[in-house]
Amino acid sequence: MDLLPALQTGTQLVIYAPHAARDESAMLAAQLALRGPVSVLDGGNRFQAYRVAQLLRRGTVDLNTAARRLSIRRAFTCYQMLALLQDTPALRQPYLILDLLASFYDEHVPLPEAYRLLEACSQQLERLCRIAPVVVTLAPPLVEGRAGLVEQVCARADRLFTFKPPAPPASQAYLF
Amino acid sequence: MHEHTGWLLDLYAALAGGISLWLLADDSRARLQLHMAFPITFYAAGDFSTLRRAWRFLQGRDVTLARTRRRDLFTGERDLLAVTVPGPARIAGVFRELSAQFPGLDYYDADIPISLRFTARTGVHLLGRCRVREQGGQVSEIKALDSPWEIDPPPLPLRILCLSPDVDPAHRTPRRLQVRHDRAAYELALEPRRALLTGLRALLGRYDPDLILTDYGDTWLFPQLQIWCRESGLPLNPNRDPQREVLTRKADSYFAYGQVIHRGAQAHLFGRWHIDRRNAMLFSEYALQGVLEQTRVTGIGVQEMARKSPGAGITAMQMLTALRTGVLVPVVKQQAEGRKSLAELIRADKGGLVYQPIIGLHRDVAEIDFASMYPSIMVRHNISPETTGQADAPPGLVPQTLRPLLEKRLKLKELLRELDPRDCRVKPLKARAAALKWLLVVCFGYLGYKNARFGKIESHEAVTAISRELMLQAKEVAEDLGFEVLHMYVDSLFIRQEGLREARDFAPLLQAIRDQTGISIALEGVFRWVSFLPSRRDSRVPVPNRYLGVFQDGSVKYRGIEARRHDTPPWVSQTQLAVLNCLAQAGTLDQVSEFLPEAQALIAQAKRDLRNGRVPPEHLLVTQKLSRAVEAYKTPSPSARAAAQLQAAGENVAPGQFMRFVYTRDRCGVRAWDLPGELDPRLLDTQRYCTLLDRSLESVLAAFSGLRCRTFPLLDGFQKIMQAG
Amino acid sequence: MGRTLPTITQQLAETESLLTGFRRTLRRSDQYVLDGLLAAARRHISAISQTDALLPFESALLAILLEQAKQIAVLRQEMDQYKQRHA
Repeated sequence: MDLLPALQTGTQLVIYAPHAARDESAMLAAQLALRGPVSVLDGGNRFQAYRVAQLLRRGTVDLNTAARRLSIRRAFTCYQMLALLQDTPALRQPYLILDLLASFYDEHVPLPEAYRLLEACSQQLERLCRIAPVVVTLAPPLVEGRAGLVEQVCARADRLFTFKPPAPPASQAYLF
Repeated sequence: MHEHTGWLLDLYAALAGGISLWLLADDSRARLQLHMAFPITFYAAGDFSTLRRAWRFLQGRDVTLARTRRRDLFTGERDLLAVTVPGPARIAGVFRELSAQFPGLDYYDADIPISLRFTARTGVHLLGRCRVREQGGQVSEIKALDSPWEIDPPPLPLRILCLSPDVDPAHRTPRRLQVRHDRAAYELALEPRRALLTGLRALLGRYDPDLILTDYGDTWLFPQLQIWCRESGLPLNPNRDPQREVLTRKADSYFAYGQVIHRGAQAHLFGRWHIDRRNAMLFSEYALQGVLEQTRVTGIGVQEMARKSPGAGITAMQMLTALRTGVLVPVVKQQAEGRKSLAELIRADKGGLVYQPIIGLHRDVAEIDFASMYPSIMVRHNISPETTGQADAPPGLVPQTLRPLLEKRLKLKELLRELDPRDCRVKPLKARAAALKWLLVVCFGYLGYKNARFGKIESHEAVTAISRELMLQAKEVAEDLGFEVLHMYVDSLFIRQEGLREARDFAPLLQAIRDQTGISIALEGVFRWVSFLPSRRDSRVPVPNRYLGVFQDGSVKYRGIEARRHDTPPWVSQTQLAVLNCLAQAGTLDQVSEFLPEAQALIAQAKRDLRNGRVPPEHLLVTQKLSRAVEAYKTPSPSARAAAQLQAAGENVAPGQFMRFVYTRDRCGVRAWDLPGELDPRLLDTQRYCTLLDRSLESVLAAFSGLRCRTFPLLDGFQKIMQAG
Repeated sequence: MGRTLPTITQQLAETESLLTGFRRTLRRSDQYVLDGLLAAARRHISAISQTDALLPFESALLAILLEQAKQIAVLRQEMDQYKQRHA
C-alpha cells in the first residue's frame, strides 16, 4: 500500500498493524529518502536497514547519497523514547516514528507512569507535526492491560490506517 | 563505651528508624545486633518554579530541605533540591509521594540499596572487617579494617545449617527434613507438626546459624512453616532479629525486554541469611564462596546476591563508584542514542569478530584467549557512557568501577596457577575467581543494556568495534609469525603451525600479541586434535564455536554439541561425553580407531540399559522453557503439552517457567515430571530416546568420518561400525 | 540489547529463502552445487560483515568467487603434478 500520498504537514498519520507495518514503513522510508531528508525514531527495533537499502537501490544508482538522507535513532525504554522526542529539533522534513508503544508495553513500567510518558510524547509529536508530516506506527499490545495506550495514540491521529491479520503481502524483496 | 572488632554480617533499615547492624565479634564470637542513626538524602532537579512548589509540598513532613549543586554524569553540575529524611525506612514513602505529585522533575539518589549507601558513607563493606565503638548498642563510630580487594582474606567462621526435604516437594510429599551442620546430621519427622516446630525452634536457639542453606526453602519450607505455625498455634521465628518477620516475595511472571521472565518466590531473613540452593542464580557454578565474594565487592547483601543475576551486582558497583565520586545516581535512565545515518548504523551495529572455522580435523592446535577482553578494553580505552567521543577524558565511571575488579581477578588467577591442584585452598579460590568472572562478563551488556543507570549504546558499540580491531591485529601478528588461523570467536583464536606443539613454542606469539594490542592473552591449551563440526544441514557449511577436541593432558573440550544444551536429557549428554572421553584416550589421532570398539560397546550398553529399565527416569528428563501461556499456543510444543497436564492436575504454571517432562509412547507424547503419582516406566518412549542419542552421536562421529580431513586419512570404517551397532 | 540489525548469517538465510523457487526447479544434482555456492559465502561471513556494505549480497558474491578461484588453483596444481608424473 502506498502511504506517500497521505503525508501532509499538519497531519499526524497513525498506522496500527501487525509488526507495526514493518514492511510498509520500510517502503515509505525508502520513498521519502529518495526525495529528501527523513528522520526515523525507532521505538521497537522495527527499522529494517538492509531492506531499505535494497529499496533505495531500486530507485537510484546513487545509493550512498540517498542513504545519507536517512537519520536513525533508537529507543529501548519509554523514557528514552520521550528523551528522543524532546531532543528532536522541528525541521521541515518528514518524521517516521516506528512502533512508538513497544517499550510502553513493558510491565516493569507501572501503567500510570506509561500513560504520563505517552502524554508527554504526544505533545512532542504535535510540536513536530506543525512543521512537517509525522507518521506513527503501532503494533498490537503483547499484554492485555495495555490496550488503552493504543487507543490514546489512535485518538490523536488525523488519519488512521488499520490492518488486521492476515496483513497485506509485503513488498517484493530482491537479492540486490 | 565498648569497642569491638569483627565482621559486618548484615545490615537493614530498622523499623524504629536508622539501621540495624549485625557484627560477628572477634572477642566473644557473639553475633551482636547494633543500631546506628542513618539520615538519607535524595535530590530533585528541574525548573525553578516546580522546585519551589515541591519545597512547599514537603514542608512539615519531618524532612530537612536544602538547596545544593551536584554533578550529573552527562549534563554536569545542576541546581538541586536536597531532601533529607531521618532514616531509610522513611525514604520510600517520601519519594513516592513527591514523585507522584511532581512527576516532571528529575530525581537522583532515591532508590539506592541501603548497604551501598552505608559502604559509601563509612568505607565499611559487607563481610568486611571493622572496628566499632558503641554504647548501649548504639554505634558512635565505625571504621573499616580491610578492603573488598584483599586477595585472600581470613575466612568468616560461619555457622551453616542445612535443611532439605527428603524428596522433591513438587513431585511428592516430603515426610522428613534432613538437618545438617558441623556438629551433627540427622532427620526430623515432618509430623507431628508440634514436635517439628518445637524441634526446629530448639535447633535454631542452640545452634544459632548465620546461614540457613536449604533445598526448596523459598518455594516450600518457609511458606510451609508459616502455614504450620498458624495451624498449630506454635510460633516459630527463623529470624535472628526477633522483632522482624520473614520477608517473603511472591512468585510472578512478567513481560519485559521482549520475553517472559519468571521469578520464583523468595524468603529473606533478618540477622541471618537464607539461601535456597534450588533458587540461587548460578549457585552450582560457584557456590557459597562465590556468593560471599560477590557480596564483598558489589555491596549487595548475601541473600539478594544469591538470587539476583550478576547484572544487579555490576549495577550496584557502578552506583557505589558514583556515590564515592560525588556523581548523582539517576532514578531512571534517560540517555537517548545520537543520530546515525544508514551506513553508520550498519557499521556500528555488530558484535564480536567471528571467523568461520575450517571444517575438519586438525592436529596440534593451540587455543589462545584474551583475558576478560571487553572489560579490559573498557578500562584501557576509557570507555564509559560519559566519555564517548572524547580523546583525553579523565577515567570514566565504568573504568573506575571495573579496574579493581579486573586486577583482583587477575591476581586470584595468578595465585591459583602457583598452587598445587590438591591444595585445599584451590576450590574456594576458584569459586571466588569464577564469581568475579561472572561480574565481568555481564558488565559489557550493562553498558548498552537499556535499564542500566549509566548505560549508553554508543559505548557498547565502541567496545565491540575495538574488540574486532584487536582480533584482526592478533590474526595479523599470528600470520606474520607463520601461524595459520583456523578459527576466531569473539575473544579466542585457534592457531597452528607445523612442528609447534609445546606450550613454550607459543610464548613468543603471546608476547607479540600482548605488545601489539595491550591486552593480556593466555594459552588455554594445545589440542592433540580438534574437530570443527559443520552444520547439521549441510556438511560444507561452517558453524562457529562448534567443536570437540582433546588437549595434550587428555582432557576433553567441546562446544555447541548436545552435551552443552540445557534441554538435553542427562542420559544422552552422559553417553555422548562417555564416548568422547573414550576416544580421547587415544594418544594420537591415528590411534583413535583402536578405541572404536570400546566406544561402540558403551553405546550399545547405554541403549540396553534404557530398554531394560535400568536408567533412572530423572536421567531422561527434558527441560524446556514455556515461552507463553498454555492457551496461547496454536500447536502446543512438548513443554506446552506438559504444562497443560499440570494445569489439568490443578497446578499453577506460569510463562517463563521451565517445564520438565519425559517422552512417552502414548498419544500425548509427553508426561510432565511434576505430576502427582508415579510414572509407569513402560510408558517411556525408548525409541525416541535412542534416536536422540544417535543424533547426538552423529556430532561426535562426524568429527572423524565423512569429512575432508586435511592431514590424515579418513576413518570411514568408523561410520560403518556405528551403523552396525 | 544493543544489537538490532540482522546478522550477515541471517541475511544469507533470507537470501536463501528468496531463492527457494529457483532452487526447487533445479535438478537434485544442481541443487547440491547451488548449496555449495552459498556454503562458500558462509565461509567468509566475517569479511562480508567487515565491508559494512549497504547491500551485503554483493560482498557475498565476491566471497563465492574467491572460493571458486581457490578450487581452480588447487585443480591447476593437481593437473601440473599429474602431467609431471606422466611426462
